[in-house]
Amino acid sequence: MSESKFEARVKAIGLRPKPDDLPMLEALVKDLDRAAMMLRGPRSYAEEPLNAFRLKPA
Amino acid sequence: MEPFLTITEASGLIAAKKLSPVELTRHCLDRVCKLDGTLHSFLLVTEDRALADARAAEGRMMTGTLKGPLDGIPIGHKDIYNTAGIRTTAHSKLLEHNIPAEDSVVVAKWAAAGAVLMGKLATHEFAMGGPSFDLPWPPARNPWNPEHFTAGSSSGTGAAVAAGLVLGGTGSDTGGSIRGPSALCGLAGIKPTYGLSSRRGVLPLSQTLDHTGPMAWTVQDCALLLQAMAGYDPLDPASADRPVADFSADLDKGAKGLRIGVLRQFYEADNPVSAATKQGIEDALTLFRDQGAEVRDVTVSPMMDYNAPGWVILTAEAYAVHEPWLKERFNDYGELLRDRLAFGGLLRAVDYVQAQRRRLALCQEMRDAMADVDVLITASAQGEAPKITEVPKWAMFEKPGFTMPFNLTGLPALSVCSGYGAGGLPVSIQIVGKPFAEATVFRAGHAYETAMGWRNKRPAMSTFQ
Amino acid sequence: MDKATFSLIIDQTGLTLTEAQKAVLLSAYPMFQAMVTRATPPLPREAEPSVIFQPEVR
Repeated sequence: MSESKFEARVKAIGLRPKPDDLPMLEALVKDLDRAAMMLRGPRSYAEEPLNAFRLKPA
Repeated sequence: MEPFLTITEASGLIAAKKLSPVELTRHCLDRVCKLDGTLHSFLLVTEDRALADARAAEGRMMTGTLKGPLDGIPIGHKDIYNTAGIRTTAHSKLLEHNIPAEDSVVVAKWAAAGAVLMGKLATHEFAMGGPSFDLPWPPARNPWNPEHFTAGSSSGTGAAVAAGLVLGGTGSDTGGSIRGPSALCGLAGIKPTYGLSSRRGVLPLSQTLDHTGPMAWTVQDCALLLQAMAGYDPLDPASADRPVADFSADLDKGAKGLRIGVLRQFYEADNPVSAATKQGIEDALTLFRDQGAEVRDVTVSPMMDYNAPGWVILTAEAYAVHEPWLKERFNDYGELLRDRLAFGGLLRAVDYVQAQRRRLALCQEMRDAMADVDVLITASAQGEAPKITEVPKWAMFEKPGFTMPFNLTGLPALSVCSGYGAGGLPVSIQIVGKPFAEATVFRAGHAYETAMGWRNKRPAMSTFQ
Repeated sequence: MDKATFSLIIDQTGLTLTEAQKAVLLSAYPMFQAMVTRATPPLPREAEPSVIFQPEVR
């Protein structure tokens, strides 16, 4: 059986899950991908991230 | 009138009513007309606005109500600083017709100080993609030799100040974009402490690395410009809520008693600099010792260890800013920026988080290295400006840069001209201070600059009758 | 990384690139990966990130 796109994607980042775990992993990644897409709403480029880098005086 | 005046000189003459702001502005506009066809430092000259600002300043001069040292001084803004009602393009097709409704905080501050707005200055596309030849406007050229690179991304500001088209200007610095052009164009330019000067209203590249800062002919002028920029902005989440120091207070103290740490490994081992650059640093160290400073070497992790997390963070954050445009208008970007940004899509969340964790450790290392010194000295650039057509596309991957370590750690870092090397092109040193210790950085820079004669020389192409 | 795998991970970004554009990026990809590796050495488990979340107190 040729490698699925998902298997190739997993291999590309260096992970080696058990073959039996692949379907569950793929479903989980699909959910996360969907969540990530929901974050891509209309957003100004000027919108700041939540966490800030702050320096303390010496 | 004198072809070249510093802000300090012009300001003194204006205050004494010996120089008309209108005459000074017309003089600069005339220089733009004569030289910018070669230099391409301006994307937009705002002549009417400049003359209106100058007339207003002249009125205040006549009534003895000048606002301060920037009143009547011609300046330019890098074209990523929003200017109300004035096109702000990031030198990109994507914002070719963009007209902001509001000034950025820094633009508003300089306007309130009476500065004369000459126009919008060239930049690398979105402060990252340059030098590019496939954009709506050509790249800026180095006045010391117009076949050569200005460095970037504050390329237009570098060229315009060096050639005397403006007396000072804004830059931004995410990985070196103030200090690079300051180095290659022979200027003084400071990336202040992260959070000292508001980023609001400036088109972002990488929010946790972006800094706003000034560029000018002299260190003293930089101090004046920064004084008018700095200050807490509650609407910038990174803004430092602390009183603004007097950056000029220590200028005339000289180097006596200063404790100077030399980051020699950066410019001798990690990225060996040109002979003229190295000589400039050694001459500076000799001068500082002669003036009574204590000089010793300090050691930190290799420069690439600072560059690598810096570029991972920059690429990830920049990709997040640009992702919607990259998906819809990929080919409207210039090739250089487009390709550099695309790698951001290949970074994993864990890469970004790990880079930010590594960043904290490096901040601590640099802080420890500076525990017993007041400033660090190192190079700001590898050497003299290369030809503009010979700048490698992937330079940031190939060799570590001298400037990124101080974006990563947020420390104030000033580039100062330290002489002229091959082909008469400028070389520079970099002076780095502790957080919010800009006054000490300026003190060291001014002590060096006033002792050497480099400020008496201007680019040959800019000297004419 | 081979061309097919690179194409897979680039396509995952949602960017639309020509084969020629992908080839340019692939040629620089080893340098990019080397930089990522250099930026992310092993760290103690308790190592904090440099950016902080500070909820506002009104």
